[in-house]
Amino acid sequence: MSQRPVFAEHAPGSPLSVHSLTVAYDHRPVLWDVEYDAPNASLVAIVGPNGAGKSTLMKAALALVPLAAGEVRFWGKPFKEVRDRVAYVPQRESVEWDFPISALDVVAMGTYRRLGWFRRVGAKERALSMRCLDRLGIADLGSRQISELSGGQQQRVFLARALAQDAELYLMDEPLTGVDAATEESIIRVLRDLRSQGRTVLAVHHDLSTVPAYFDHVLMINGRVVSAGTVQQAFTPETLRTTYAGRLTPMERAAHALSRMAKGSTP
Amino acid sequence: MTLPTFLTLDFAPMATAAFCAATCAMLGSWLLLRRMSLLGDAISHSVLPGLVAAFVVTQSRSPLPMFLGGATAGVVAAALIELVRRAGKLDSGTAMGVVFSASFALGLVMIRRVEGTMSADLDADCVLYGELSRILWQPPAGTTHLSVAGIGSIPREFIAAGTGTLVTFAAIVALRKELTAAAFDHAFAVTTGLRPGLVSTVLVVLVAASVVSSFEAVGSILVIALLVCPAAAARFLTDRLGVQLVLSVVIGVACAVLGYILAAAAPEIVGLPGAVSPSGSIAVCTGGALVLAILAGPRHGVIARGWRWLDLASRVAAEDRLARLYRESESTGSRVVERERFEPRVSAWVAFVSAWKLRRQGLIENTSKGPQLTGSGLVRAAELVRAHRLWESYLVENVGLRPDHVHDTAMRLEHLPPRLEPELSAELDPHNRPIPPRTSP
Amino acid sequence: MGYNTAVVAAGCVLLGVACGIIGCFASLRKRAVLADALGHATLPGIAAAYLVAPSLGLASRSTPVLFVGAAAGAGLGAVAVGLLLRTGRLRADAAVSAVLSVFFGAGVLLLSIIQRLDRGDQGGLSHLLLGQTAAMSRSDAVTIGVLALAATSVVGLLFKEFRSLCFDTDFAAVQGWPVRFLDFVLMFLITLVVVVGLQAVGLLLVVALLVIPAASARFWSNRLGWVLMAGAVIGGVSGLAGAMGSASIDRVPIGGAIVLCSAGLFVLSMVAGPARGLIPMWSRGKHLGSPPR
Repeated sequence: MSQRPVFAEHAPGSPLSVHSLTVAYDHRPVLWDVEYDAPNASLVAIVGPNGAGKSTLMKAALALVPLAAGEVRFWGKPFKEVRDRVAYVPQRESVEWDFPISALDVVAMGTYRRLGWFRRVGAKERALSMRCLDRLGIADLGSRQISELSGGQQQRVFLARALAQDAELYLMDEPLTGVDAATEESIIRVLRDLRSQGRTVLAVHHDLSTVPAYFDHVLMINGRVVSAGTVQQAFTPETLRTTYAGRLTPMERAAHALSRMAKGSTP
Repeated sequence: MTLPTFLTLDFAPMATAAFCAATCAMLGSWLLLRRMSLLGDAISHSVLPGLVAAFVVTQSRSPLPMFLGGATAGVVAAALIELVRRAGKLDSGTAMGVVFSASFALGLVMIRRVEGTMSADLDADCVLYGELSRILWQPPAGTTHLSVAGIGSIPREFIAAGTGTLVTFAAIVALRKELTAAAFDHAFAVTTGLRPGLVSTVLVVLVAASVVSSFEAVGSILVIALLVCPAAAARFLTDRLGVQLVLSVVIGVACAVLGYILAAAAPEIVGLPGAVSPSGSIAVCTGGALVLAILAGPRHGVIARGWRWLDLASRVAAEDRLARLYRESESTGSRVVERERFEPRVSAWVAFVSAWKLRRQGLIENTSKGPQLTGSGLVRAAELVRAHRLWESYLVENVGLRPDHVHDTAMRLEHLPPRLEPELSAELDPHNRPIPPRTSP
Repeated sequence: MGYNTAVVAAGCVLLGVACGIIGCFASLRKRAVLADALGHATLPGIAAAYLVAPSLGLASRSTPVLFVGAAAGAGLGAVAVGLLLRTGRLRADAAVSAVLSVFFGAGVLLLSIIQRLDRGDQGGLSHLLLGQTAAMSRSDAVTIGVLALAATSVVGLLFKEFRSLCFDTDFAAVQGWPVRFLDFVLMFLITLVVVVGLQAVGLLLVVALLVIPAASARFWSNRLGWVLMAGAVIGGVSGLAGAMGSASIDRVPIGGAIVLCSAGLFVLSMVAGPARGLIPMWSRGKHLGSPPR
């Protein structure tokens, strides 16, 4: 068993350090031994084929799914000590958009933690939420019921909620998937603003063609880290080939067998 | 208790309950597989106004009008649920809740209003709990049960329940293809013309019919127990559809009979006067059957799962120990390990069973100076270490992990069967340790 | 209106308000159907409390004793549903139906034992199934009122927390809210109104109070605050109308009356509610598409 000090080899100031992370879904390993240090003040694209574990990585870092092994640190500290400095934008489908709530009230949820228990959302929080909606160009939609919004508008509401949290690290799950061009533009503008303010954004991203244009760093995943670094260094035809080449057969078979073993069938 | 007494007092109610259980089990299995158990709940509550209306109109409790009234109410309720769902844009659970609780309230109000005003008698208790104990088979004076007159006097509840079972059985057999297709792949059923919508309607009608034919026996709420629990218990005992259907019927009938017997006989044993509610007893028995199936199910039961976990964990712990001893003796050069290095914490159960396994398979012997791998222990340990080091090589060469990170992952993978090992021709692992050669062909 | 009727009506209004509000959150959290299981599960608890009370030196028919029994039954029912779901082999609909019917059956069994015992004071127990037919006592009504008020205030305090929990649970968890604890509080409130409610409308119908006003409220507004308000109003009005109707019309049980009133308000809401009612939607030219899944 490994007994070495866990984060000795990781950069202490990195907003997100992942060490030996292994995550399983239903007993089946999805991520093997992920090692990663996110750079400061950058826009990082997390790319990989379907089922590669990109969303899982994010959820595991945020303690939404349990880890089979490994540790995660934010600026060298465990997650619960730095919650205020981290914002999460889940996938759009994870939420029931038929909920009786207006766009402004969704954004105001970003301020809940600062408010603390029992206190109500006040004028100050509402004004802040309006400003965040305005940054995404949808200030006029504040009072609209969210089920009346288009997909792109809903995504912008989600982003605005994250802005309202005023965090230093943003973890976004597919923020640019299925949105119209205008939404894409306004989201990228906001992300670049965040970067120029010294904040970091990690975003799961599906469209490979826009990675060099929108992001400066990349993390390529397919069950494990294939490559990580600046777009110039890490986003090459060779790394792309390896990432998207399909799963490594022995690993696939092993993952499947481990799952069957855990469930009591013959592996 | 003599045979005639049994036939008069107990045979008819027990058989009626058994018929109800069989009908409900068949339908309940399909509801369970289609995730429509709530519909059974909803229909049981919704038939009440129909039953009361039939009673008021005919001033009697004769089965056919009751049946028609209840079935109509059930179907109307299903239609209302659909209407509310679409028009109100509500999800189906909410729509069901609204319709069934409103109908049930209507039925209860209607019962109260007609109480004591009719020549016949329909009170809330009988509707809710059923009246198994009042079902009597009384042949006319001077005849026996098995005479023509005797058979002619078989109680109507018995006939209703028996008919229900036959009709349901026939329908299920006739529609088996369609039911299966609709349950597992709705879209497929639609495109191949198997009319899943029609099948759903038929299922609803059958459920309404079975509820109505059972309410006099077990009451409108306890029929839900017969719909859900035997089918759910069967679910834990098998994965095969045919077995599921048969098993649920067997369990249902067994619970009906057992429940009835317990209600009739147990109080005497315990010292209470008279019998207790048979329908309550039956419902509790179905619950007991479910709990038993959950605990004891051969593949999915809790005990079986716990056993398999223990088996796996102890095997892994035993193999880890073998590999550890191998590495120790590799580094010290001697077969006997004088001082075993640290042991990771495992639970007491796992430690006990793994030690027992090692002893029983003769892989380790405890000499006076310390533990030592036996001949076969050495072979097995070499296999494990080979697997471990092969995986480490693979993880570094092909997957691109760092050499100081692969140990833990390889620790997991080494327990997989040898045919899953990566095929590499390396002789040294990433830490420059020798990879033991393959020991079996 | 006599004094007694006024007291009963007041209790029912407060109950309706509490059920309307808590029912809204229960349905947003997809737990409304669980309330049916909880309601039916109170029966064995009540019967057991009745049987056990004398050996503890307590009066069998006293409200607090039966209350505690009901709460214990409902709590066990909730635990049972949770355990059934954890096996991974049963879905929520089957788990709820199983617990509902088996616990109710156990209650029926115990009731039949109680009837045999002939202790002389078991007459009122069946009223717990269908609600009070005789006049509710003043202390019962006060108890109902106070507890309903307490439940409502908790919801008022935790409005934004519950909203966050129901809308986007993952986000709430990441922000640091104790999601499991909040869920537990919600379940506790649901159990509380079920136990309180069965005094008035009977345990068979208490689920209706949690489902129907909440479902009706959705048609009135797209803002959660107003939805809760609508649920409270509809619940309260149903309580009032039902109580008064039951008092004035012969042989109409109060539980049935309240539920039927709420059903009437549901139809009204579905047809005319400004946010999603059929007529306003039609006149806005909206297309009646397929409902959400």
